Amino acid sequence: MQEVVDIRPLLAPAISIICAFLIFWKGENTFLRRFFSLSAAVTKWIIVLSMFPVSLKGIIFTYELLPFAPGISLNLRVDALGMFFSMVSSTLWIITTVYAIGYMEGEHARKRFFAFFALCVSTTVGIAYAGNLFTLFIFYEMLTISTYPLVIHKETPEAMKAGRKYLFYTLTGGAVILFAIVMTFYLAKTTTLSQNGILSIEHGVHTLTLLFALFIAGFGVKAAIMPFHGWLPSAMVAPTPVSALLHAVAVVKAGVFGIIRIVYNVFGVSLMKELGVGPILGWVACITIVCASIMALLQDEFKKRLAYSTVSQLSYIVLGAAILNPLGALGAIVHIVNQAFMKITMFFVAGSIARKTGKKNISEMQGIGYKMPITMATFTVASVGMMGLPATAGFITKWYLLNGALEMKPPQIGFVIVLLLSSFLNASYFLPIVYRAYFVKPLDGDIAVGEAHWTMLVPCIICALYIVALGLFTDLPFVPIQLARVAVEQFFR
Amino acid sequence: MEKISILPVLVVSFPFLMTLAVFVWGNVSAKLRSYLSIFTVLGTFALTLTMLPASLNGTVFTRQLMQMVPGIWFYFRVDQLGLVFAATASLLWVLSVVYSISYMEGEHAQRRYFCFVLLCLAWTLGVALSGNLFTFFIFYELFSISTYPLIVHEESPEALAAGKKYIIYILIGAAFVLFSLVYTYVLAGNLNFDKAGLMSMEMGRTKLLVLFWTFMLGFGVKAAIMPLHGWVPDAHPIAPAPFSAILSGIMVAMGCFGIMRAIFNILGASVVKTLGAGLIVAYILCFTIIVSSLLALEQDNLKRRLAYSTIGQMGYVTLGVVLLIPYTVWGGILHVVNHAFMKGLLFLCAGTIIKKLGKKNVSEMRGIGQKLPVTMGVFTIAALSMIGLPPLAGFTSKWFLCLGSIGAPHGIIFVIVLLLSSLLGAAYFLPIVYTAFFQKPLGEEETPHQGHKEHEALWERKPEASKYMLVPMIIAALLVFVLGITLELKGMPLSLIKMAEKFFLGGIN
Repeated sequence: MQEVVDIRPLLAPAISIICAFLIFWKGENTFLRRFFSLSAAVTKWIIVLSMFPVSLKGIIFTYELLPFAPGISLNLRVDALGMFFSMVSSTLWIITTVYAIGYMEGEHARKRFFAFFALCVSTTVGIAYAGNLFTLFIFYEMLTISTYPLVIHKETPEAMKAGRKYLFYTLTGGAVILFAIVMTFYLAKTTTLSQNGILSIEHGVHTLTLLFALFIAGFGVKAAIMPFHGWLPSAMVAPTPVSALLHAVAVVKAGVFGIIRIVYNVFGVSLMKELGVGPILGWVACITIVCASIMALLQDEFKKRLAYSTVSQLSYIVLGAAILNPLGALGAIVHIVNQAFMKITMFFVAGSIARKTGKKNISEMQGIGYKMPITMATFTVASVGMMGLPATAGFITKWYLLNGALEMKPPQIGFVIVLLLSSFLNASYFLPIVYRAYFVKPLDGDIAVGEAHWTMLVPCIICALYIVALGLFTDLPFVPIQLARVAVEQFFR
Repeated sequence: MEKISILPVLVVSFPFLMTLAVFVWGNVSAKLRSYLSIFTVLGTFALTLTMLPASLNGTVFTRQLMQMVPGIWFYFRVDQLGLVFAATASLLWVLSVVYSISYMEGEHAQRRYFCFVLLCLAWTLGVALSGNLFTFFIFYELFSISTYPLIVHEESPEALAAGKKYIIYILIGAAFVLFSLVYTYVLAGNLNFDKAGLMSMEMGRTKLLVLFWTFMLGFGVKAAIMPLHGWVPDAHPIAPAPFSAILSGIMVAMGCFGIMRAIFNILGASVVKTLGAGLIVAYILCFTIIVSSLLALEQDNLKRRLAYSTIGQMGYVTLGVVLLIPYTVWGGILHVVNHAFMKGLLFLCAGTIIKKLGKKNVSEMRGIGQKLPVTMGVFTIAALSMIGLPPLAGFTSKWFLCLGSIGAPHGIIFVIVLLLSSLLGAAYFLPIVYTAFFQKPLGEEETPHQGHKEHEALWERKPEASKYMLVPMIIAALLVFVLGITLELKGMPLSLIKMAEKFFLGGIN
């Protein structure tokens, strides 16, 4: 496998850190704040994109920052999986920034909001590019801290409570991860992520199983695996752009990404099979998928329903990783981008409705489709995608996950049933929203069209189009799924 | 390689002589006193640093001054461990003294304050650079005594009570140290620190155990190992803030430093390992770490909360030492350095809050982040570092401690204790940050309270602390960050600590 030393892995996270400091410095000025945010987002996107074609050839970028301690250094290493994750987050950063500019109009503490927003994106890309567990952990903890001011942005008692809950869950998870990393370093004498895993069966089955459980429990907090998901629905009190980018993409995906790294780069496929923990993890994910979907059915608050749906969708990715064959892994990785675009569209829609009409509960949304037809159309596309209907992104995921589950030896019919059941549940909690929006007349009879501001509408449309594109074009040379294929190849060589 | 040099003597005598100068001219003008004090601490720090390059190459500076009693010399010896401690102390003193100039403005007995602060620096360096237990003990005691006027500086009944408690604890501890000193001489006939251990198992297990425990009791008072910690939560909050920083960062660490000298240089790592008593101490320390964190949660007085945190954090240091594993020893010694700047910074911030807003209790600190943005900003950095979040200094020592103790017998327990303590740290530090930044002050529009009138006026005119107070705080915050990421750089503490560890533990690993 070819590796090249390159400064770009450092530049990509650095851009948004610089942006954060610039905003802290001159952020009172609305124009400068927008200028810094947007130009940093675009610059970062271009940097990430410039690595994409090379990464597609299977070439790995590395950059050693500085030695930290004997055997450990801060280093960045961009393999196909990391590249994939960074593409998703940097693309969505641009879209969300545009949306946030519209959404945050008139809010207080916008300087703080945009600065920490940039910081979060920076640490997310850091997580994607981390070359060893140690670097990963550093960025992971920085993400925890820099998200806090965003969660409590409103500073209401409810927000403060959610913030406390968030910190309690994630810091505890962080401590567990640190424990696991220390244990890994003790056993393997290294924490460098390698394509075939760094641990071997000689370390003892019980020790390794314990270690695996610790890692899953630790990363499981951000990945919202039940019963560690409690913080996510509460954190929905944050402003919508935060829920959209962080609680649908960056933070939760960081947890899932961590799990994928653990499964493939720390333990490795062959060791995972020897330990036999794959199916167990798979069943944990299945339980989360079903329970979270049922919880979603019971929510009336729009964002809470979306949050539970996120909990359920994240476990698709965990399930795909646990299937431990190329198809399952492909499904898992592709779902990182698919779920991101689908869920972010939904959050954008929820935010637009809340901003425009002040309605937060689904029961109040009769006839909202008359009022905001385009917004609700994008929501419909995203819902259909979530259900996994063909020609949308969600179908691709389901296709690979189902194939992966069937290809296991012996075939896991249980997983197949859960996946199909989950599609049904998705339909039953998303379609009523669509139905209510379009086919029930508004109570007050007000059906005048009044879409949200274009900065909020355009991101919805772009994302919706992208959902369809992701579902249709899976064999063109430069689509995300090709990169996912390279990543899978790197894990299963 | 040993080299006879006058440097250690200079390092110790320079601040001592300058103290005399401050004493003589201290009342001429405040400006002169300030400049003299700053010159002293900067000069001392520079002098200490001149020994660094040679020490990095393995040179040990020694100097015998005079014979005190037959066979025992007044003896300086600068090994790597001593230099780490000396450099940390002299740098923290620079920050603290510069800060004091503005903090002490308008206080009574300023000359006394500055004289004793500088005197304490001289004694601390004496402790760090001493070459045998006898010299060590002299400076150790001088330091204990010279601290008293600083702790009772306020001269309020509370301060005097805290001072009394302090002196009783410390003198009892000193008695145990003195006993150990004599007993060491009886057993080994030698008190020098130049070997990795003077004792051997042939001297008898019981005798060695007695020696071990008397050392632990003696130094344990200053190192604030529970249940010997009683003086800390009273003395730390009552002293002027810049000196609280030193009390917390250096004085308690000096107890730990004594334990290091006792274990590594007197008893010897292999003997301590054979005795097996280290593990009992380790469990006591686990208790100390957890209980002190729980107690810290209860405190409303900010400085008192910080004091309890110090007890727990110094438990880390001693834990690292008694486990006798290379990584834990690194982590322990490194934590002396890291903790000095983190906790020093926190105390300086607490001082700024007291000085500028007159607020001592966490519950009164609603919304002070708006009034003191920089102070509370650096406070946040230090607090995050205390919790052990990367890439800040506190994380590095915790990392090594965890890494080492996982290999120890029952090591998992220690790792769990360390991580639990981090979480408890989050539980008692983050609410302060949260109160300061995210809570609105009660009755914001109210007319200021009668008693606080001058404070109110002060911050309306000048919301943030003065530059003499701000600059040390910002430097400390930068240090907390730099120490967190430049671990492997030559000349940073770890490079010296590694050499020290190799010398001390070379025999057993």
